Amino acid sequence: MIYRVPTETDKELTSKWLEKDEFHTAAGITLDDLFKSGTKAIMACDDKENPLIAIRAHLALRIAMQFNPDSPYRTAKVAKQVVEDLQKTAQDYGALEVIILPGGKAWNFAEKLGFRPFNGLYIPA
Amino acid sequence: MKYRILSEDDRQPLTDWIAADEAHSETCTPDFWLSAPGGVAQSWAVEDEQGTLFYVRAENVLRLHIQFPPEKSKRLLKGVADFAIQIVQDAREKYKQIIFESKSPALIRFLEKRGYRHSPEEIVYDIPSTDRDR
Repeated sequence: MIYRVPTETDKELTSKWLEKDEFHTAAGITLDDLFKSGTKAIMACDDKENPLIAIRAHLALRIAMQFNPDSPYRTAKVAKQVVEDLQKTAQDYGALEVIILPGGKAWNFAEKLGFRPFNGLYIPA
Repeated sequence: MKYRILSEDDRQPLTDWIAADEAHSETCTPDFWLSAPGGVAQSWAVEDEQGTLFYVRAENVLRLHIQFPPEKSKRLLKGVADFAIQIVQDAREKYKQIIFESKSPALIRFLEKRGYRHSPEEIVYDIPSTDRDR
C-alpha cells in the first residue's frame, strides 16, 4: 500500500465518496472535517497509486481515573476545574480531543461536563 | 487543588480504591497507574487540602477519521486489512492506542476479526481551537 499527501484531485474524489456515505452524511461530517488543519491528512492507495481510503490522523489524550471511594463530594467539587486543566494539558500536547471510558454513574456526570458519546473501535499500538 | 507525580507510597491507596471500585476491581492493578512511562503515558495524583482525591492517567492516542469509497471491492477490503495492520506498526513508538469511531456494523465486524475492540461506551471531549488552527 502507498501513502501520500492528498492532492486536489484526491480531495475531489473524497468529496464524492463522502456524498454517498450514509453514516458520515447523517453525522454531519463535511469535507472540511476530513481535511481539517492541525491534523495529518493521508491518502492510502493501492500499488498503482489508485486511491483506496482517505484518512485524517491527530493526537488525542485517553484519560483514565481512579477515584477515592471515601470522597465523592470533594471529587465532584473539583471536577469542572479538572476538566479545564485536562483541556489545557491536551492543548499543550497538541491534542484535539480527550477520550474517556466512564463506568456507572460517571457517564451522566461526564456528559454534564461536556463530553459527548463516542462509538469507539480501538487497538493497542 | 494540586497535581503531583505518583510514588510507591500510592500503591496501598490504589490497591484499596481499586478493590472498592466495581468498574475496575476485575481489570485494573496499581501497576497500571504506577508504571506509566513519561511521554506516551503519564499519571498524576490530584489533591485538595485534605489529601488525594483521585488518580489520573493520560495516554497518547492516535485518533483516526476515515472516509471509504462507496464501492466495496475486493481491492478495498484488502486495502483496509493491510492498513489496519500497517497503522499499528507505524504508531507503536509514539502512541499507546489507535482509536476511531464507526457506526458501520460491517466495518466493526471486519476489524474485530483483526484485533480491534469495539467499545461503544466511550465518550469524547473536543478540545477548543487554539492558535494551531489559525
